[in-house]
Amino acid sequence: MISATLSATNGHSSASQSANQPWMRETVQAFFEGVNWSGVAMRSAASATAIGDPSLGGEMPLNLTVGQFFETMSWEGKPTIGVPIAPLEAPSSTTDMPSDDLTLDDFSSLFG
Amino acid sequence: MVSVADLLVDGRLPGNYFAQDLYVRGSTELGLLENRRGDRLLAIPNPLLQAIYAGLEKETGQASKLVLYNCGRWWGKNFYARFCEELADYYSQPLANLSMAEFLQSLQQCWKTHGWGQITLDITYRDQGFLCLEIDHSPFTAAAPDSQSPSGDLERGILEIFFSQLTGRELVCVQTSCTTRGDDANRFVIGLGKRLQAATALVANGQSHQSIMQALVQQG
Repeated sequence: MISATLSATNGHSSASQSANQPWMRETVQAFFEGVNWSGVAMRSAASATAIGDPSLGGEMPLNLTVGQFFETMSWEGKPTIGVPIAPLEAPSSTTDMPSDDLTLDDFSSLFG
Repeated sequence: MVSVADLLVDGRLPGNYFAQDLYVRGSTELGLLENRRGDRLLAIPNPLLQAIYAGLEKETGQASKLVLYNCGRWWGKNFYARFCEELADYYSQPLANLSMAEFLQSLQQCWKTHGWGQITLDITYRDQGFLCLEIDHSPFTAAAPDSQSPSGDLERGILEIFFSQLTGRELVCVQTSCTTRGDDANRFVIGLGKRLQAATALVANGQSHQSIMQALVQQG
């Protein structure tokens, strides 16, 4: 089991912890973008380097097989990580107070 | 010669924001509890927790789990909003830019300081699309009556909405082990709903967390 249990440190993680677990040095954004939620088989590290970016040693998109090309498509888009939101308003505790404005229709419907 | 001043960012070194001695303040004479920003805190005594479980069971029966889960989702959204805001203010940068070490330490300390037990992130199945969380010493399931099905519905709702908001995806949380069933800790798995459908039946069959995770990974 790879897990993270941190001792309380003054600010930054200890060097040994980060060295053993490089993912601890990733930003929150990078870590959660890296979770393979769809479970599609991950490409090997060698071929996963920057597809479509030849400058980083990746392959040109047109050199990939159809299967490889569509495997790497992020069909679900890339959601933004850690977007701050405003707290929800607590629902007002409205009690069903009997209304005082009884109309003639209301009154007559009592005898309906 | 290294100057300490050169190591500081903006002349300060962010520490442990949720440290209990600093985070919780209040006047016992007035019966007021606040956090370090002045937001009100509520202390819930154990008998009240037990009464909530007992009362819900009596009033709503089987639906009590759903009620607690929905309470968790509602409250968890506010928890996420405040957690984000407080950390962003403290570190002077958006939550997304924090390192995972800072984020996890803050989440763990926050959980502990609020008295909800010890939360641990397990990334064993990250590449398969699942994140696991373990909660030890949960006061919620400690107060829940013994049950053959997991009772951490409040926490399940909180974790589900917290990580859905954080990742910007509709994620689902399933509890795979629970102290009320005699397990050693409460464990939860988070992932896409369609990939966790099998988990519910496996939990109902009393499968262990490990075997549930193996089954989820093998389903592809």
